[in-house]
This record gives sequence, C-alpha cells and structure tokens, in this order.
Amino acid sequence: MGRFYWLLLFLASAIATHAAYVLYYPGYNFDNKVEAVLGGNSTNKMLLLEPAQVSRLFPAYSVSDIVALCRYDLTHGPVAISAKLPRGYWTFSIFTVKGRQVYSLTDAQAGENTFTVDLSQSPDLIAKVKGALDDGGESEAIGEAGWRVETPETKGLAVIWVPVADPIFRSTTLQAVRDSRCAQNR
Amino acid sequence: MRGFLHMMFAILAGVAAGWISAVSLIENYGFEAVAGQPQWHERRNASDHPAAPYAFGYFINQGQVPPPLTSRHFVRSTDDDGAQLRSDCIYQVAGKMPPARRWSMAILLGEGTVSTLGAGETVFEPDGSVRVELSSQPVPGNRLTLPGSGAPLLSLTIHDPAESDAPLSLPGVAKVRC
Repeated sequence: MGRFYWLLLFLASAIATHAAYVLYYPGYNFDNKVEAVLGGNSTNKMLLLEPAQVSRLFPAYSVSDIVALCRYDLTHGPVAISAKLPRGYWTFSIFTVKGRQVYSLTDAQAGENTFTVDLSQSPDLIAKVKGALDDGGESEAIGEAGWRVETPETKGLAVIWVPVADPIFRSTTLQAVRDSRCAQNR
Repeated sequence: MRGFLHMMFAILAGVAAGWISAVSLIENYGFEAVAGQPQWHERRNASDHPAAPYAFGYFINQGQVPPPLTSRHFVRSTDDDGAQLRSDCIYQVAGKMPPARRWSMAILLGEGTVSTLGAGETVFEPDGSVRVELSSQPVPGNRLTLPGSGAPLLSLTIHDPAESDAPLSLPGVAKVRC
C-alpha cells in the first residue's frame, strides 16, 4: 500500500508538471519574447515589421515578405482589426499567446481585399478550459466583409502576411498594408 | 521524517520526469518523415493532430510564431546522402516545388533564422523547377546563406498547397563540395 502511494504521488507530480510545461509555460515565455522583439508599449497597435523582426518571429516567411502584426490584449475589452490589402495572395491569422491559431482568412476565402474583424474573449469558463486543450476559436460573419472572432485567451497575435510577388511591387504593397488598423473598441 | 523524505523524493522525481518528457516530446513528437524522402520531416501542427500542443510549444519556446494552418512546414538537417548539413560546404537544392500558392525556404540555427528565400524573389529554371545554392560564401544564382559555424537546419514552407494532406514531392539537397 505504501509503495502504491509513492507511485501515485510520483505519477501525479509528473502529469501535473508535464501538462503545465506543455500547456501553460510556453505562453508566458512567448509573450515576453515577442515583447523583446517588438518593444514595450506594442499592444493593440498594428505594427509593420522590419525584416529583422520578420526573421526573428516567423520561420515560415521570407524577410522580403510584408508582415503586419497586432499584439492584442483583450483585458480591457474587444479589439477591432481592419485592413485594406492589395490584390493577390494574403493571409490573416489570429494566434493565442500559446501559439494556437484560432482564426484564419485568405484572399480567396474573403472574396474581398477589405475586411474587419472584431476580436473578443470567449465569455464562458468552458470555452476557456476547452481553449487550453484545442483550438477553441469561434467566429461568425457580420455584414459583407466583417467577422466576429472569439478567442479563449486574453492575449495573442493577429498577423497579416502579404508575400511580395515581385520586388518592384514592394513599395505599393507596403503602403497598402500600412493603412491596416488594430485598436481597442470604444 | 523518513516518510517525509519519501514523499519529497516522489514529488521531485515526478517533476523531473514530467519536465524531461515534456521537453523531449516538444522537440521530437509530431515530426513525421516524408514518404519517399525521409530526410525531410513535416511538422504536424493542425489543431486536431495529437501532436499539436507539442508543435506549438516547439515554435513558441523559441519565440517564433508557428506556421499558419493553411501551410505545410518541412525541415531537414541532412543532405540526400544522409550527412549532416555543414556550414563549410556548398549544397544545391534542386527540383520542382509542389503546386501551391507560395513557398518559402529558410536556414535556421538555434533560435534564429539565418537567411530566407521566397518564391517571389527566386529565379526559376525554364521548366519551372528551382535551383538554390546553400553556401556561406557568395555564389551566382539563387542562394540561401549558411551560417559561419554550427549545424544548420533547412526549412521549407508550402503555403496553401494544392494537396493539403497528401504526400508532397519536395526538392532534393545534394552536396556540391566542401
């Protein structure tokens, strides 16, 4: 009986540590690392990333691509993200601070190059708990080119990625993406 | 007193086992060798894949945003002969990219990206294939810069592939010289 008790204690400690390390620790670690790259006072703003920042944060993108990023924080309420992007391939993704992608939109899915996303936190506890275990994101269309997205986490990243088809189009593409907005809903 | 020591030992051993297993799974679980091209490994990060939490952890522990779910992400650390990629050698990545809206390649070292190359900045061969040199020194044509030292990784991300789940045919990596 005594040995069984120690074994049970060992297993409980191992499972708790494993789950905490996989599900929770990376999120806290990640937020600090992103802040180190983007600088303080970078929440709820759309930032056009420098090539060095793209290289540091996005292993899947080329540094010549155009990446705009909003480090959202829903603690004080929903955030609205709007963009008017150039024709051609682009993607818009929302990640939680734990790296889960809760929303994805491409030019082909949107059908238009202008869109608005209202981002808020899932209101109920079940969704938050579920969000720790799977993608947990919910979305619904509002109007012609608008979506309401609920995320299980308070913090995360919204990313607009526009690969440049040819370097000669870079400056015009950059200008278009620069007009994208991310701000707290008033 | 003896019982207390036993309890502490069981807890500490459990914490160590849980931590080691988590670190190990984050590093390794979810990498699947590509059929017919075992040097390439695909990182499975689809939310419904059992390895998803570990795949997310793999990227964000390095302070990187995981590739979007509309893409497929592959990495390799060896050439076609199975030898580790070396900074003092020149390699050639050659072949056709799978049908997709976009692709991008990168040389990774530790927590950083050394160099990247996207489809939009690549000069293609007349038959639509690509030829990219991996070298720490300047070479003519498409090039991905290798770091001055260390064991680099080559990554290839296929964005919006025509085949989202089927095996993809990826370019090979041949050693040119050292």
